Amino acid sequence: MDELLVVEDLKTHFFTRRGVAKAVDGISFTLRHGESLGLVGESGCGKSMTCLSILRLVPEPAGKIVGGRILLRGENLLEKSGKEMHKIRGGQIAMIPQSPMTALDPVFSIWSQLSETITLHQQLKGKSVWNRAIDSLREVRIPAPEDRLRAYPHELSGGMRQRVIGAMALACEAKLIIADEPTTALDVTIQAQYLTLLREMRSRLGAGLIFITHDLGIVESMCDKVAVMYAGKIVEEAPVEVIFKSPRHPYTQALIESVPKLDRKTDRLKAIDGQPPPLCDVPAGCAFRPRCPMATAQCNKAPSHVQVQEGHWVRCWQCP
Amino acid sequence: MVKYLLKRIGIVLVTLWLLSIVVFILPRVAGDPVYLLLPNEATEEDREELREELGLNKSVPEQYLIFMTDVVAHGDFGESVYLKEPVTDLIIDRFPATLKLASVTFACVMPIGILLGVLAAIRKNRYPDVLARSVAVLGQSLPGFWVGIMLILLLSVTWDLLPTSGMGGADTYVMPVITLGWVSLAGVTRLTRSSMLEVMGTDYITFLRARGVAERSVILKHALRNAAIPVVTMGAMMFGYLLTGSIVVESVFTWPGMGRLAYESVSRADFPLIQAIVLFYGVIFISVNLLADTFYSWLDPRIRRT
Repeated sequence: MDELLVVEDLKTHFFTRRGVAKAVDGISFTLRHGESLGLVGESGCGKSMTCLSILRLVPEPAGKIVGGRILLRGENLLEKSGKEMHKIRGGQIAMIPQSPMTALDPVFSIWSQLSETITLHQQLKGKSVWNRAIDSLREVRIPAPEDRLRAYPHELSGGMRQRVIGAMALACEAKLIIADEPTTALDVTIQAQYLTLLREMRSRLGAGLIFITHDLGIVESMCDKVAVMYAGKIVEEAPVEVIFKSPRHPYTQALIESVPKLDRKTDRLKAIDGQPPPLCDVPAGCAFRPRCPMATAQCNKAPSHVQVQEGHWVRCWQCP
Repeated sequence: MVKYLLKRIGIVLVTLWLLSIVVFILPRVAGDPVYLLLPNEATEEDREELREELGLNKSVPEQYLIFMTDVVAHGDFGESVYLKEPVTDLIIDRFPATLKLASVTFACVMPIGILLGVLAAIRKNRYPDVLARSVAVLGQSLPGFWVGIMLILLLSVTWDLLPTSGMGGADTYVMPVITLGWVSLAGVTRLTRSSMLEVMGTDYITFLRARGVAERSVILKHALRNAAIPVVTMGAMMFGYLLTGSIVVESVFTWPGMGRLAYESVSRADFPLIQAIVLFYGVIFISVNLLADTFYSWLDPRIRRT
């Protein structure tokens, strides 16, 4: 079967004293083998929580996945036992976290952590674990891998640590990589190197990639298709060329507009008026209505999906 | 490495030397053993005679010089003014009892405290947490002498389960250890709990789970090792406090240790004994500090020096 990941109407809510925060409110998308999806949106729109939900790492007891299905190669992850999920996490699904500086346990060596992950997911013992570790470090272009293995996380730079994390995904032959803003904490030159590395990893593993970011520039170079999120919902999804050429949702349009362009001289940056709504207090109807330049009375009712073309749909009343 | 050790030893010697000055001057400013040794009817002449005998009529710097020469050249810390015995003998005689009490207390408090703290952290706000925190609060609020006396009343007098006082077999250790250790247990439990909670919220713990590491490994291997760092440091210091702060317990249970000796020496202005005991306590704390540092650098690779 062609589909690697099918997410259907996923809902993750947080139950707080101030009310129910609908962090993920009916998200649906599909990902094929080897395909990459960019998940774009402002801070707090639910991008990271979607990915934690797929991994079933939603912080309990406050958070809970309350509805939907997550099909990894046809099997519903929400029906899996704890033990089965342990095998899947780090094995079939590899996560690349946002901050490499804090992602590794500071009191254990790189070798210790890498071998721990390898032995969990691969049927390897003894010397072959070492070899697999060295190989995966070489693949992510870490020089002198034998020395690096003996080192501790604080002895490596941020970029190196991010590569080690990538090596973990490679060593365990992940089929789906979820990268949560992996380059946000790196400086720009390292960013470019890392993205190249990520592309190589993808083709080597034939893995699908979910790339969370708020940087539209990265989306263009890394992703096959893009889903734009707002207040816990996907408001537009389209192949990458299409979304930049003809965005349909007012939010998407505003996002693209707000990116400063080098070839145009501007005095003022174009920002979107207002703030995203707090997730426990999302307005009824279309969540973007208070900030939307095209809103009408119709937008008081929650918009449904509108198919624009093959592979391109929007959640908006104003888009023909 | 050698340079580092030499530097360390140098600092220790300077610290001890400064301590010796302080411990020499302070008692002489605060008290005069001559008044306590002679009856009230004694004349000023008698007192002067005694002072000359004890060498207290010389100037303080002169006394200090004599003292230091004796210590460095002969290892002689003098004789107790009151007990008329060499001070070193007295200490050697009484210290083992305190050491045993402190060691047993330490050996009980650390594992129990860490266990309670970890349980409290992973079951936050549920029964294990409430239990652990109650034990801790009680330990920090109930005065030691009250706990000791109540234990004696209950377990010795009423139920005749344990001997009331003195040092002997294992049953004599039970109540003193509980009394001495409860406060320390509180500290260890609370620190372990808060340290664990802090560690469990870190990115690397979440990432470990995202890699499919078993929850048991996450808690016991990764979280605990990180959380233990401040606890171990505190534990080493605590051992120093156990060794030097057992006066109340020793009094309540008539434990033949150094705590009582120290207290008596101060109340009798017994200069040689005070000096020796305080210097000895200084050595204890310095050693304990060194131990804590060593532990700390073993546990946390970020602190290690090449």
